[in-house]
Amino acid sequence: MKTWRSTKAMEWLAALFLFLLIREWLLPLAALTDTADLSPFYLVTAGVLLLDLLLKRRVLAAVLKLAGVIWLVHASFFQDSILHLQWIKQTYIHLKQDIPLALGQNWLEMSLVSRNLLFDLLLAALASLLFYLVVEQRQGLWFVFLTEVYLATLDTFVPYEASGGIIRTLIFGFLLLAVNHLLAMERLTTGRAKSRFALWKSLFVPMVIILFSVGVAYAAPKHAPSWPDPVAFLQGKQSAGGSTAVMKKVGYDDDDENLGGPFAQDDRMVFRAIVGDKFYWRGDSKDIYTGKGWEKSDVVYEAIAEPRTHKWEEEMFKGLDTEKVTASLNFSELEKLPLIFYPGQLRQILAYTPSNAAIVYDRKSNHLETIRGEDLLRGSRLADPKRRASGTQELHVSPVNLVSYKLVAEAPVISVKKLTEAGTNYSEEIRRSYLQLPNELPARVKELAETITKDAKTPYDKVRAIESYLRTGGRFRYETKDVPTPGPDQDFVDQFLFESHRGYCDHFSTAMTVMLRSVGVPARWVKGFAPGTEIGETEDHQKIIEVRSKDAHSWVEVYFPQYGWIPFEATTSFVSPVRVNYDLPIETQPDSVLPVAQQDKPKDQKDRTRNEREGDKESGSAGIHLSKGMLAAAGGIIAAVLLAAWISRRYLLIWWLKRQMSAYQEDHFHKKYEKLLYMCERILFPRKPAETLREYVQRLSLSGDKRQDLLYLTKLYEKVCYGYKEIGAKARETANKIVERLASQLKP
Amino acid sequence: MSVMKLDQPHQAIENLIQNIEKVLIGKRKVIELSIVALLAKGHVLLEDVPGVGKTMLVRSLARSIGGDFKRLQFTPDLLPTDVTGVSIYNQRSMEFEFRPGPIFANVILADEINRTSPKTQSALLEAMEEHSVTVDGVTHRLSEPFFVMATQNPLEYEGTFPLPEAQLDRFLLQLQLGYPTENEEMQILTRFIGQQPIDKVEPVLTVEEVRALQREVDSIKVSEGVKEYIVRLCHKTRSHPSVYLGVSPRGALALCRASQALAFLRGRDFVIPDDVKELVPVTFRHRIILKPEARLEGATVDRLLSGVLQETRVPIG
Repeated sequence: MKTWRSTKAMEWLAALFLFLLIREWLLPLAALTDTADLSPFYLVTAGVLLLDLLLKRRVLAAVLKLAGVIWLVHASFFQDSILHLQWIKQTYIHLKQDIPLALGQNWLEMSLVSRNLLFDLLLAALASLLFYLVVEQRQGLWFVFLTEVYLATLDTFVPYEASGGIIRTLIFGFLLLAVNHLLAMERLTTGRAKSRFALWKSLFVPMVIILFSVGVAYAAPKHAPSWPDPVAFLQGKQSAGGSTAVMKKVGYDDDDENLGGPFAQDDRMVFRAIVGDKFYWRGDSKDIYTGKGWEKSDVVYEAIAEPRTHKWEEEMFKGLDTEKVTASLNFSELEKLPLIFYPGQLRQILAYTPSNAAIVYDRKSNHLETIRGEDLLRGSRLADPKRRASGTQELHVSPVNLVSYKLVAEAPVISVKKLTEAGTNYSEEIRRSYLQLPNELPARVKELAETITKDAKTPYDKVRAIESYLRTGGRFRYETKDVPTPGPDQDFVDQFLFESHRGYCDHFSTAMTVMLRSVGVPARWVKGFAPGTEIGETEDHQKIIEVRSKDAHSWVEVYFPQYGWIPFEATTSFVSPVRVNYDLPIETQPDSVLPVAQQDKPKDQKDRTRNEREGDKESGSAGIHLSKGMLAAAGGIIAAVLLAAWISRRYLLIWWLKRQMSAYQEDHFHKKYEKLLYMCERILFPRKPAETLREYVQRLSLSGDKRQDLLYLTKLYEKVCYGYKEIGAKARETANKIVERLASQLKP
Repeated sequence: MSVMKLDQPHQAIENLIQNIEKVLIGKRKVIELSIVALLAKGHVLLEDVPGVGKTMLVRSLARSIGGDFKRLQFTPDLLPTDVTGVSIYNQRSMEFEFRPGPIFANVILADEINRTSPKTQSALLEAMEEHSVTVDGVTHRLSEPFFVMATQNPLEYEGTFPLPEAQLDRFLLQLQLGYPTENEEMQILTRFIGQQPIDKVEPVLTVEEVRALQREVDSIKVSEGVKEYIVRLCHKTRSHPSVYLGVSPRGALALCRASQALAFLRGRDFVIPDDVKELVPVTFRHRIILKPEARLEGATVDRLLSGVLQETRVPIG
């Protein structure tokens, strides 16, 4: 009993060291990815190891592990009770959407729920396999070695400081090996008297040795590295090359003066919204195109005295059918912004927190900002809180980031008939502000726009023609990484239209705005967020939506007399959320591309799959980007799994053979026996061709009982094989039982 | 878990073996093989030095099966008729009358068979093969079972007529008794001092029962795999580089038959490769002649046979 207990204690110790080693694999995730909290992963790992320690029955353990992972995912992502099965449906919807994304390696597009669920499952499976190999089968060396390789690789090639991890791995790894070795010795010395004290004492020696050698190694002087840190080296090279600028991160940003250049995907959540219908989250619009980017003409902010009761009567658009949309937004802790996003045109702000904030409104760009309430009282009511100074915006008052707000807005439904008949009766103010183009704009931009719109009779037709030119026909490719920055003398739109032919939403929307202006259609450039990803539904059928940094988007608003500013989508592979009522006779319909996404036929295979996948779902300005850390982690995990599979190939084979064995019918005793024999040959040693079965069985290094059992089975098998005999049902039943028992006892 | 009884020796035969073991200590293996030969209707050639219990083996076997036993001491001047018997003119009945020779018995010990002339040898060997003798144009059936155990002195001895290959082929098995171990010899001394051990042997079977057992052996199954195995073994001996004369098809038949008998003795009604393997040395030993150069290099038939066994694939399934 005592021996048993001390063996068990050693196993717990081995499991503890294994946990610490797995932790070293997880730690880089926090540093290299945007994983904020590793504790769920620790919980999964620890839970799996505990279950494996406590439960002898693997099937039961597997069920509990699965249940644990599901519970954890539910607890992290769903508020309602686990018994309220709505969340299963939602998870299913997520998985259905995300598995194609996963196959396409669009990790960042996947929802958090699926990503976490899949990662947790993978982690649980990996931890189980590791427990089996390292603790049960006592094959720890390869894992320790692999952990060191993994950490060293990360340390060398990505900005992750792993020296602490390497030392810890060394300590835990060797202690794990020591425990394993003691356990193996313990098994060999069965029958001899063992005391618990001796076992612990024997662990003391390796511990001292390991600590001593690690301490000496740590304290000893070391050579400087023989070659420079490759990360810094590579990055230096890159910036010396010069053509690619520093990579931006996607997200909402107030500064649009220099557009272009590549950006990195960012998956941080900005806000979660409950909304009736999905629409663009409009943030701001800009009217001055500089040839490099967008700026705002003089802004006049008016303070909204009673924001909660104020009704925005003045209209962005009017005379069209609209849909009323109520939206409540909750911002992430780190991603709050001092402005109000609204779907369509704003009607009323119902509530917001912090409630002491004041709201100021720029009527021209239909832009709302939030500032500190005191600033508003103290400052003048005319309120030009921002003044332009040397190209940057200087704040005179402090902006306040809103945590949440609830508002009512209206989304327009485009009437093709009305817009076609809108005419060109633009006011002087509209003409002045929204037909502006820089003098340096190359003439070929205007020429191109005229060529595209030569058959278009009305402004609406022109809009649709330019839109179609940009979005369809595969002339322009959606691309976030390999995107050039325009040179000092280069026009941003000109470069996109005539040279690079690739870019993201800023390129498409700016090009469309500029081309529209060049053919006399007033347009402005709008920014905000794409509608986001639907993650579920509330009980009153409102949509729950997640908007992330990668959903930051820009599009175009075109002015139509009498009707106002109508949004249009310029970017290929994005689908406009604007509803269109095709109320013109069919032959007079302009060549429309909206909202039929399938018409988009980008050349690029990647983009095509995007379209097919996204269908009528909208998406942020996205692309595929994995951080090096994640790549290294994924590569490391895959390599670990492959290596584990290779090292444990005998176990896998046994498992496979056992499975096959139990798949045979009861009356196929001889097949089962043949599998058992094959198993013996793989696990112990092969039978020589000239050896008879009995000679082989005698030669096998089996304990007396097992050998007797195997000999018995062999005799039965001979009866079938050489005597052409059937075995009686009862004997067969016994034999099958023995076969299975022996199979489960065989271990390499 | 109770393991079903499998592979239990045939009870009657086990009794027979134990009966003989009473007087022949430590020679179970040879006893078994002798019985194999008896059951397979074959004969045994014993090559051994005098005094190790050859006669005891044969006599106890004969007594145990309730058959009659004759001993033939072969000498250079022994005539064929001394073996087979002779026709004598009976003056009273005015006709020739056949006087059966010693060969008309169930168990025969042909001692020192290589001391007699080839003519006499062949008389015996023909009788062994045909189970009948022909004297003066009349064929006389020999009694069944008919079992000859011939001994020969090791060939180097002087004054011997080595048996020709064709004759040797007629023996099913060639056995060696060998000296007993010290322990066994002590037992022999303790047990048999001052008494004739053969008197202690009682019949445990009848001749009829032996005949019935012989018939049962015929029905032992030999699977295709085992047959192929036997054929492969024979072919291996024929194609072996140091072999001058390999095993004949008669040898293959003998091996098959002996294997059946051994399987029967072991309580099975089918032959397994283990039976064949066990019998290959004793069945093939006297059927192979090595090339002189191989013999000069120190090759022996036994070593060659164990090599052949190690190279021949055993059929499974």
